[in-house]
Amino acid sequence: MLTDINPRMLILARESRGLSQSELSKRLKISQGKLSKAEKGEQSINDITLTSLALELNYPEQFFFQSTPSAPVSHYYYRKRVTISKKIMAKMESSIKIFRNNIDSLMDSVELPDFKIPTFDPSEDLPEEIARKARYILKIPDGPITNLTNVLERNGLLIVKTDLFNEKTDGLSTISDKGAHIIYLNERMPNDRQRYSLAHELGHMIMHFDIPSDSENVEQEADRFASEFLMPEKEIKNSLRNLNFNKLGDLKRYWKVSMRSLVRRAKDLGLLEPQEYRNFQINFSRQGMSKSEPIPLPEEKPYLLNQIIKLHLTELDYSEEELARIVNLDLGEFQDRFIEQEIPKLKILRNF
Amino acid sequence: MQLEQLQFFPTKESFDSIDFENPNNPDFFRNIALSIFEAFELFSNDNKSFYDNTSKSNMLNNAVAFAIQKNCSSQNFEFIESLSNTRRSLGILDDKYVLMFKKTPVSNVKTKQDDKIKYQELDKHVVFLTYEVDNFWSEIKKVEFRYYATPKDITYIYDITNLINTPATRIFEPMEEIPTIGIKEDAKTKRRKAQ
Repeated sequence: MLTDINPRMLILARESRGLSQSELSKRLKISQGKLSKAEKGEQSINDITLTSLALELNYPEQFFFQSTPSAPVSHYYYRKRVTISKKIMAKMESSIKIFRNNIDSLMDSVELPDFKIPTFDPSEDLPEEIARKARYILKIPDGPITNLTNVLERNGLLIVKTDLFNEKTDGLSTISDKGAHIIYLNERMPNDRQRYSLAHELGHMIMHFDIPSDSENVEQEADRFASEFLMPEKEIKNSLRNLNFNKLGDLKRYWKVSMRSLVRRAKDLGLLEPQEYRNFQINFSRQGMSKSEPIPLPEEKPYLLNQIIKLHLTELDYSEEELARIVNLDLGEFQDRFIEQEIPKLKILRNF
Repeated sequence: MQLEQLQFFPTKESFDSIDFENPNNPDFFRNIALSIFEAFELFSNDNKSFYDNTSKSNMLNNAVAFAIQKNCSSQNFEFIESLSNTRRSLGILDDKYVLMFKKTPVSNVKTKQDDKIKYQELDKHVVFLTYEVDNFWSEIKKVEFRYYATPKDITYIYDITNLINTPATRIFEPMEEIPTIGIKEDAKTKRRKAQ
């Protein structure tokens, strides 16, 4: 019997597993042309091929009958101008769309905290001014933000730490079809970078989601927002004078930002000469601190997504198998994605 | 290794590294290493009880003295707190060795007292417990015992940095306030009907 699946879901499924058409068609033992036509919606597939598809791509058969997620994945945040292979990019984007659909399937039963994240137009106010207003509206007291994830989740943002399949993308922000505002952070990044990325993505949500903006400036604006949001000039300026390596460690512990961000902040506030800034960069690179710095910050653990699942399991009496069916995932993948691991992924740290 | 005393009438036996490295309490050096790392954690977590107006090194040294006293005091190790403002807290191990605690680089300020200590002119062998932090004060890099024969000659080093296996762990930032999340009013009814 021939079956009409949603061709867009077939593409999403294939890309999320990092497979090309040619790779998948070989595994399915069908021609690439046939697969290509199926992906364009020009050809139906039979039940046997559907079963093979589900097996090869590790999605349940009903996955391929879902409606297509319509909202685009917006605002990727790359630390540097980097090239990511098309395949990895497609894998990341498709996985995020599927993840976002999973979340939407669970949103019918739960009420998130009221969404109180404001929006401001960066053509009217400077990003720094917007950051100060945002801190005020979100009732953030003076000084360092102790747990940024917690502050944002209390204000209705859903934060998800997940693998983005590369070490070049720091995070991305998106709105789901059902209106959930979600920020994804790359779990491969160290905690100081995750915090900065979170503030950066928040900047996008506040300044660029509702208001069309000059695409060349958006990343710079989000960076300026993040810097002022995490390290307000009025409060940090004095402690950044006469900066040295010895002082950087203390400032990192206090402000909960990376040493590199502190040095950059000092430069942006005119407290470091270009040569001094260069010397810091050279030293960072000599000490292998480009990817990871000393003094790891405590991890900010998102709460809401975990709680959404808990409420379904306890208050609504769902089983994990039922929830996996609701979100259209195989049970194993559902558990990996949504059920808190008893044995956490370990990081090396000295602790007593 | 035995180090001969440069004295005509030695008041103590030669320093014997094997004897030093095998104290009566077999866990002693492990406890010392643990104390240094613990002290660094205490110091890093802004524990104000170690606050000292002079310098970070002194604050860390105060934390080290506190942790060693807490973790290592026993009948084989007597901790003697500094009686003056010199921060010369010390400990006596097995009634044979005087241990002094210092962050490296050890000060080169020359005093009569320092000379007496480093020329080993006291009636017990003096061994310096030194600990080194990295440039960013982010971690303890090295913990070792050093024996000076003269102020300029370190004739013996015993590195105890790796005596402890620190566990891999995740540290979480506590939540200041739990976000409010609940089940929608009609969700339970819908679920009951579906069941």
